[in-house]
Amino acid sequence: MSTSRESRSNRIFRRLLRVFPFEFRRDYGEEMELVFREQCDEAARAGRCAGWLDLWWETLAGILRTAPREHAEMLRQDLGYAVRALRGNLGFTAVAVLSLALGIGANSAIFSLVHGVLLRPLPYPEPDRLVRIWAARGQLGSSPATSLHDFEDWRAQSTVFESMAVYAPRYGNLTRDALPRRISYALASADFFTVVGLGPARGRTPTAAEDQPGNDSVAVVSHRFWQRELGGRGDVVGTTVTLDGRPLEVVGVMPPGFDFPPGAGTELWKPLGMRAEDSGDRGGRWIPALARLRPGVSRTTAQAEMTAIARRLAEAHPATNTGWGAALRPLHEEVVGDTRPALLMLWAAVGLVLLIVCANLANLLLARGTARRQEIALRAVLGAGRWRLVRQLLSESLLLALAGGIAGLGLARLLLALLPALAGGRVPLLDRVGLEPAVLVFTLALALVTGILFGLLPAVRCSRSDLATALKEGDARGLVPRAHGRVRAALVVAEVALSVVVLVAAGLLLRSLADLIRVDPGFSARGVLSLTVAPPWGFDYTGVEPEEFVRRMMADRARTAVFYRELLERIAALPGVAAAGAVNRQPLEGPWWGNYFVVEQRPVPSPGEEMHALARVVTPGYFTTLGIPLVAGRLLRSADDAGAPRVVVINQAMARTFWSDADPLGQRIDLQDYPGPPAWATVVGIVGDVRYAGLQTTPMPACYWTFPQGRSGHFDDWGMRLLVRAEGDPLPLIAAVRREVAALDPGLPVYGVRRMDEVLAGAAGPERFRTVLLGGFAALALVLTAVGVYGVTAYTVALRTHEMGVRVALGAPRARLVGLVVGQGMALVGGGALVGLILALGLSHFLASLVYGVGATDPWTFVAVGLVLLAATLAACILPARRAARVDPILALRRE
Amino acid sequence: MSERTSPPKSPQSYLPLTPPLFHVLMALADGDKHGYAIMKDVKQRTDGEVRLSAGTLYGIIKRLVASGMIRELDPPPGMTRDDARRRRSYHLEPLGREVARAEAERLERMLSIARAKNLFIRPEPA
Repeated sequence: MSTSRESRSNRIFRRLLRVFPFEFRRDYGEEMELVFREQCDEAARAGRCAGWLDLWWETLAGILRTAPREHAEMLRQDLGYAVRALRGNLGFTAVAVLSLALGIGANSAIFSLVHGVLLRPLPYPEPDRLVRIWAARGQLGSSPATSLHDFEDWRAQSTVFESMAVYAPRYGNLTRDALPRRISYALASADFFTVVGLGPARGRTPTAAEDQPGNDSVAVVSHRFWQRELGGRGDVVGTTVTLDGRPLEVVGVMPPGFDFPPGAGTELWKPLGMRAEDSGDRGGRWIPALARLRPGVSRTTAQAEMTAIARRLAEAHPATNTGWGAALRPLHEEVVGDTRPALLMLWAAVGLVLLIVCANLANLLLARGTARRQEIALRAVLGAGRWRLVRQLLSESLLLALAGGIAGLGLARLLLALLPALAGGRVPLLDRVGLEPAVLVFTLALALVTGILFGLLPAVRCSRSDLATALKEGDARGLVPRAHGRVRAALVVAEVALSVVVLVAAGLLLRSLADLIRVDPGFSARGVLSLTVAPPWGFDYTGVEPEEFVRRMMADRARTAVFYRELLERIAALPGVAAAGAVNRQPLEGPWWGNYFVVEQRPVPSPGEEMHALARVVTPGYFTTLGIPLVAGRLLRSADDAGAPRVVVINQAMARTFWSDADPLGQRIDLQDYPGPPAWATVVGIVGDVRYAGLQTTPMPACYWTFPQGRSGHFDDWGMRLLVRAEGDPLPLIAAVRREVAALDPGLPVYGVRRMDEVLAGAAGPERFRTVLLGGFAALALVLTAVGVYGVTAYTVALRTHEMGVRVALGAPRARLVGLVVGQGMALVGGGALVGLILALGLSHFLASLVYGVGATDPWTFVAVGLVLLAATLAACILPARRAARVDPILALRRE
Repeated sequence: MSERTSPPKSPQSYLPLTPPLFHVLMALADGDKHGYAIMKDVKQRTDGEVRLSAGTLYGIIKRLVASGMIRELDPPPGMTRDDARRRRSYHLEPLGREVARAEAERLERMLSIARAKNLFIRPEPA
């Protein structure tokens, strides 16, 4: 038994020796085995179990102490060797570190973006349990909002949510020391802070009793609001702020950094203070809903329950709920929007650029390894095993990669500093993007992987040198294994293929952006200024019946109509103003607001088949100010006021969609914005289509109403966009317009001041953002590829100097030599381009979702990419080719 | 085979020595030994207090050879190369002897200080 234990112990010990470096095992392994065997003999003679335990304990402790130290010593030697080798060739080192810095830095920057926007959880407790509830309507589209009626039924019938709330972002006028300021605030139901999962740093949140009509004059403020507006005073709870003319008691202050949703900039939360029965018709879907799933409940389970509840509501309320379901969307997805595919595409693109960098460096290292064959052979003769040589060469690559990674972090920081300007406010959660610890860890890991990726193959190949030949011959040329040339050629083909993919993606985005910029928005933006004013409603609407609400609202509207008429008359009379008008939602601001309508003498559409159009409340000067053409009939006039017959102007899209075989002029429609008998309006004009929803969205049916005749569409938080067309530069008119507003209402803030041409340019902001970034990466990929092609072509020319000399000596025209070299280089490029083309076509499905107006397999883009690649790589081939043509045959032959 | 890789330094520059390393030098002070013999010598002299495992011993031997304090001996005539590798003996070089002496003197000085501080006098029980 003792003998079997000894042999088992020896076998185990032999295996344990593998933790030591190879060289240590080679020098002392057999001795150590012998010593251990003798120790086993001693333990066997002693015959005590404790003796064996002591032996193994000491042996393992000794191995754990000594093996890491030996590895560290090897690493120190390898790194010292690597530093000396790199210092001896500073030119190569600089080029390599620069290439790596560009590749790794770009990756770090984009990963920062991906991490901050897509990967980092939202700053709320258990954010994956937070969902938005949309009112879903299948192919007819969904609404991000619901009605209070539906929300209360959902809340009463569902069992899958821990808490539910409604939440309506709004804007209001904060009055303080007679200086009005527009702020972003939110109406939120009592459970809102429970759903979000965060409480105030000071004070409390509103109670359920305060979320009732008449009791809701309380507010919770943000930390920033407390500091800026309330002086950061310690006794802030109980102070009063005035919002839209209403005093609100501050009951709580949220912690620093709290915002909902992230990036919204909300400064104040007040109770909704509204019951379902006070909020209008069940079909009026106007307020977003939010919920927190119960622990352990999956979204699938919750969705199934909500679908069943929605079905029951449709059966109970067919007029308003037929065809309407409820769709749950994770809050993070809502916040991120449609930036995910674009960010992932950018990340993939920089990944490809880094692979091109790796291929380039692998080529450079192979060439450098060739030049160092003698040195490597000498080391092998002096006792360095093959894997030691591989490790030493790999250490150089890792050192280069780490240096490139550190430099790359600097580049990443620079790129991140430029991001906000590039993004133009269109990328969500950008304030969370930075060089976080996760990004630093990613950069370090990427540097290590990159070093192995571009260093391993050259290290393995170069360590396989023919020692005797390498030591005998001093000149490496002509002695390089043919396999090296094949490997280098394969790397160039791979580079070109990857470069083609990145260039095609950038080319498609560039064409898409060009098409988008050329889209006719339907209006003339040049020289037009946009400013917003939002006079608060001058009546109390809490707790009133719908008919009484409409009556009070129309009376107040008449007062406000006078305000807007006077204001626009004063503005139009200003020097330098060519035209002035107003609209509730200006072009490119989004599809909201719209409504169903019916046409007189047509059957009322059944539920689920209603006719819908955008609705815009305008002043008569709106069309002229924005240059919207009149197609038929007439425009709205000042005479179309509250007492005159109701009229409406529609756009061409509405005419095409709902009067495809008839003339809409003279027809009467009723915009079903309030309950009660229809308020028919006659279609008196057709105007050109305007893109309200965005440049990429086909113009939607839209109808226009004068302010006095419109029964809705003007809310105290929206206000109206004043549009002023200047005879020259519009910017100097800003101060003058502000004065005119102040002259009529000194406490009314003017905000949202922008030039309409900036609004138009900003509409393509997200597309411009990703096109600029991807274009930059594609340019980098092209330069790197051209450098790679140049390198391998120059290398081939150097190898074939003797052959060139013979050819010239035998009378070959020098032009033929150029053709030979260029032909070989371009053959590689052609092969790589073909592979790249196939890859790009394979990715076309993904790219299609990111481009506008152009197919992902657009042939012109592929042709343009081919031409650009051809030009760059041809230039890279011609330089060494011309050198080949200048070879002196006598010198070339003498050298051999 | 390991060989000396670092230039010679003064004996003082190697101090203080770790106890295992000091014991290995002392084991070789009275004659050449192979690895197992060094291990046994240290264990016996210290009554089992200092016990060197194979890993610890050969880590020390490698460092001592590289610094020139000990030297691997050529195998005796007639021994096969494999046996010679397994039964390699080590010889204490003059540098190693100087370093061991310097360490011993350092320890002696510390002992003198401890005696001067009456560290070895136990107080009388109250």
